[in-house]
Amino acid sequence: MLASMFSCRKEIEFTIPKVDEVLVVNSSLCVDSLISVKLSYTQAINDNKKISTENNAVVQIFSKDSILLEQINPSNNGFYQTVLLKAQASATYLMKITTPKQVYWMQDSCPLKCIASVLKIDSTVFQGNLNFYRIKFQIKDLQTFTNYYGLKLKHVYESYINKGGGLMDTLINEEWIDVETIDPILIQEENNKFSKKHLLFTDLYFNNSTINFYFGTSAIVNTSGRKTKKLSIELEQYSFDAYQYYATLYEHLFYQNNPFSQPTLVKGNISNAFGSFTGKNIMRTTLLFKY
Amino acid sequence: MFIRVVLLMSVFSCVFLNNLDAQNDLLSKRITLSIKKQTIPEILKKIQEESGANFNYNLRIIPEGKFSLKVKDEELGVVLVLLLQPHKLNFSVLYGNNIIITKPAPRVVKHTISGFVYDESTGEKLINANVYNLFTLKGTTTNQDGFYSLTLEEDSVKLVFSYVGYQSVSSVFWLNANFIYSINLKSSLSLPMYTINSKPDNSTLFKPDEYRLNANTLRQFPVLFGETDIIKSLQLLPGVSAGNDGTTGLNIRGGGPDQNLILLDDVPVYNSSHIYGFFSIFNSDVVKDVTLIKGGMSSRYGGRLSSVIDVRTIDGNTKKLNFQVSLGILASKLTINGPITKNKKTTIVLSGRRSYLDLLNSFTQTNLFSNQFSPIYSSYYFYDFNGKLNHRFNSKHQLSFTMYNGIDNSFIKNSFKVKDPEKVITEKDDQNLFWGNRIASLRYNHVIAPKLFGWFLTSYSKYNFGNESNYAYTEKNDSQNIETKYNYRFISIIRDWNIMYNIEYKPLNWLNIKSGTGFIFHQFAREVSTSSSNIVSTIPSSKVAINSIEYNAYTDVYIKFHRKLSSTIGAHYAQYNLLGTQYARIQPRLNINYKPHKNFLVHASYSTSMQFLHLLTNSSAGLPIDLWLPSTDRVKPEYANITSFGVSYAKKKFLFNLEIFNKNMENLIEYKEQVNYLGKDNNWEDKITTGRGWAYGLEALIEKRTGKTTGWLSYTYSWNYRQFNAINAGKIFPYKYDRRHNLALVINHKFNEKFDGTMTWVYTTGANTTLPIQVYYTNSGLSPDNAVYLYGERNAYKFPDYHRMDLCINYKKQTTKYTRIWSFGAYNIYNRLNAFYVTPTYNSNGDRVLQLVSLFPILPNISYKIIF
Repeated sequence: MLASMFSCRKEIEFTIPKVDEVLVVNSSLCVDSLISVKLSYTQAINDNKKISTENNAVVQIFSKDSILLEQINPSNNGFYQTVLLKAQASATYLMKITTPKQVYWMQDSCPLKCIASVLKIDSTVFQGNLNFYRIKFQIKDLQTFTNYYGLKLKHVYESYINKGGGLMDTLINEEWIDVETIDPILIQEENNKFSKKHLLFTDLYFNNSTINFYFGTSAIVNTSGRKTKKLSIELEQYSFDAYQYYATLYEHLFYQNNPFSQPTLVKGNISNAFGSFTGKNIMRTTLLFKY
Repeated sequence: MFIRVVLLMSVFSCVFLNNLDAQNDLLSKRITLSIKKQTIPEILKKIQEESGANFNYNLRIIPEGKFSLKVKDEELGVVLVLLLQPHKLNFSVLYGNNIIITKPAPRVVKHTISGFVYDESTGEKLINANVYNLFTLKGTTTNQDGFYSLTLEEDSVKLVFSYVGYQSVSSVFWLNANFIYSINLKSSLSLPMYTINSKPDNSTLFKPDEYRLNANTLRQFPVLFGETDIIKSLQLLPGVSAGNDGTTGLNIRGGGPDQNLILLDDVPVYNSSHIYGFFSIFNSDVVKDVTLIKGGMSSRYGGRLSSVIDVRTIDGNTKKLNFQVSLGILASKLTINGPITKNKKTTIVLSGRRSYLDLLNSFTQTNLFSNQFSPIYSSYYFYDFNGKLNHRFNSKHQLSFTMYNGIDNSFIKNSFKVKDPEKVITEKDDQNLFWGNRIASLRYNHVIAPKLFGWFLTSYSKYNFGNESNYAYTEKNDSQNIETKYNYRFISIIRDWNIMYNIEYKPLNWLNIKSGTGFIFHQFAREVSTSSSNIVSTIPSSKVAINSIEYNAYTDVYIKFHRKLSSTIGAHYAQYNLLGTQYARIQPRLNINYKPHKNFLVHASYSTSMQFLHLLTNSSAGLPIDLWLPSTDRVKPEYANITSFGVSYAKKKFLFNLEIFNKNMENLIEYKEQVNYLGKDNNWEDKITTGRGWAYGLEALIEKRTGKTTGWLSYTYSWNYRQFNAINAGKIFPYKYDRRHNLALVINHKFNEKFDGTMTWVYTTGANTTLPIQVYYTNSGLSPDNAVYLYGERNAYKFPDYHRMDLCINYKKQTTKYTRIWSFGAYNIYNRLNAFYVTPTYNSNGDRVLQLVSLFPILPNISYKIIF
């Protein structure tokens, strides 16, 4: 508070030592989707050139029995994607990345999908907002082992630009919005303070059972300039590595500019490289708004 | 002749000669002599010519031989001691200018004078006041309760009482029995000069490892936001390094802020700051005395590695009831202090302080998070309350009850009501982050015998922090009433129950024994409770408490081996038990002082200490998320040994002190690299790592205490490192507040009776920081391009050097009914942008840059105080 009242800022230069660049793996291992990966490299903090990508790698996907499922050839923008192979729930995949300098191995599994549904939607008051859309949601957690979840809300709205002469341009916009809640199921983990747009939680209180909980949003709009068209509820199930990766990533982002903290590490699951190769399973429910 | 003398002495032995001003004046008369190789009668004749004194003596007792004497502007009493004491001759003033010189009988009879030294205007006991016999130069100092005990031979005595900031008082009498003698000292505008050895037994006035600030000294420091801060004042001393700008963290000789034993009237305080570390909890209106012990600490103290900050509050004015009102920019306070019984034996001190940023915020409705319908405002407040009830049964027995309660609260509030024809909706939402200390103690002091003083203390200390969320929603219409409530509360508490008994025994002037024993019951508790209806699910409440017991005992023996050599030898034993795990250790302490010359002191100290409680912090700023944790079977107690060696030289107005120190610390704790906050996790031992630390350096101090202009210059040149196997790949790294150079200049000037001012200037090498050296971009599921920073070695970079000047001018108007003080000043007067932290960001060209953020630019301040 005091810092915001009085603080001043100025640019400063430090002599940063030269460090070798390290491979960064941004992968997508999502059930029923093609497996993809983007390969790039780390960059010195004071280097403002374009990020360099790895365009000469060979990416191979194996089953957990080491059977080659598909090989992806080099691309020119560091992006690699399977042509046929889609990830499947409960399957384990190994990825081998061979760059001109080094070979990297990584593996993870795709979680099973839980049963989730929207039970009720109503409009109420929450924290002073008259137009708070409250959603009663249900998860049937089907496994006895720990399941890891993430909840996101995607807001799709139209905005209108007056071009003159009675003509209007309509733009479709998408944004991730805060999941507003005080439900202890969703705020059970300390991680949740690091990202309100992506709530991370576990089945700590509903392992192998059914739970109902509440959340909502006050972002739904219906004005002459903006109208909400859709609200997409995305419930994601993660492997442990994926959950840990997101949790530590949000923590890292949260503490990045915090003077009262030491830097935190993002926990990936790849040796000698940054990023992750982690599995997830997404369940989407879309609410349509009509006026 | 001999019979006449005996008769005269008998007459004098019957009465105190308190007001024999003529005799006092005679012995206080200053003379200058330079005599080489003359007999004692010849020397006495010269003294007689210089001073006007008449000497009466039997020639048979005067030794033969020739002697030399050289004194410059020295008191007659001191000159006679220098001349006669080596020959075991005594002197005493008879009447007028007549001094008799005698040879004492072979059998020496000794008596003990004991008592208390008080402030004349308030009746407060004075700590560390000097008491000495001018004739023999034997002396002592008052202890923490203002008590002294001095054993002297049966003889005429000129007892001198002196104290920093007070006028000295002397009394002459014939000592022929034990008796209690208490005295009042009057506050003086000028401070007495420093002495190391000009009065041989007065050396305790300056203790090399110990700095003492009393209420008079504290008032001279500049104020920040209208408040004199005790902890910030200590940051200006050598060997003490401040944390970040504005914070009250103290890093003493390389130790962390948790390694300081902060005592409020002998009760440990766990969090000594308000407003996230910007204010200390100590209300300067009720503080009587603050002592910082950096090394060679008394065996009485235990439980912390680095230092002791011993804060004493006032006992209460025994003369009259007075009121004090102070108005500052951020907080105001009210103090009531005085006797509450007719016999003035019972006194009370009540002082309350509160910040009002939240009140201003509610008036102005600065709604940072307001929405269309409802004002949601976020703000902060703190308050604290000090209370003390003191009763003096008589000059030997005293009972006092002390309490402190302080709360910090940072909150977001929302209160909403809407009415329409169909329904009425009300909603209340309060979210609070709170922390604070609560302290209560009962203390009983008693003079058991003239040479024996004892005190008993039982105390309770609690520090808690937590967060609470309360939500209530009601919807009423004709047909139904829907009500939803939700409450969530997390609280982490550390509680101490302490009981101790201490004695101080001084059988001989060259021997002083302090001893004591005590029990501390620690409790670490964590509670989560929830209750809800309708709107949310319920999670189970939990309550976890871990108890530990600490037993301690100590003995400190002060021995004066020789006129030039003294030592304090002691040991502190501590035993700690938690869930079947026991740690116990004897911690030896040693102090040696050697005075080769009257103005010169050589000192050395060695101490070891153990700390059973660990503070887990990332900020060193006293934040509420800082957690106190117990030692367990996996996390061992911290251990340190500190060695220091120094020399001091005092010459009238100035004191010079030079000291080197070395400190080694074991079993320090830190968060592991990937962890920043324990949260509510009970598996905290997995999230921390243990390691070691060491610091060494040189400290220098030059201080001037007399005249219109006073102040000091302190300088520290030091190194400070840490090593943890799980941090920085096991490599040694500099501690965050490893400041190579640390310099502070404090100048007080008294312009006239109404105006005085203080200027402080500090310069330190920049603090260490860990900087990002590489970056990569990753997909978070929300955005594809999240910058993740890869940090270089721990604390491998330094902020730019820190320097700042503060000014304060006080205007004081005193009438018979009240005193008003206006204080004007500025913090950081030349607006230096000192680094608070460095963060990566993007500039207006879109380039990634490192940006320095500074906290405080120039901050003018004004405060008003009225005492009536």
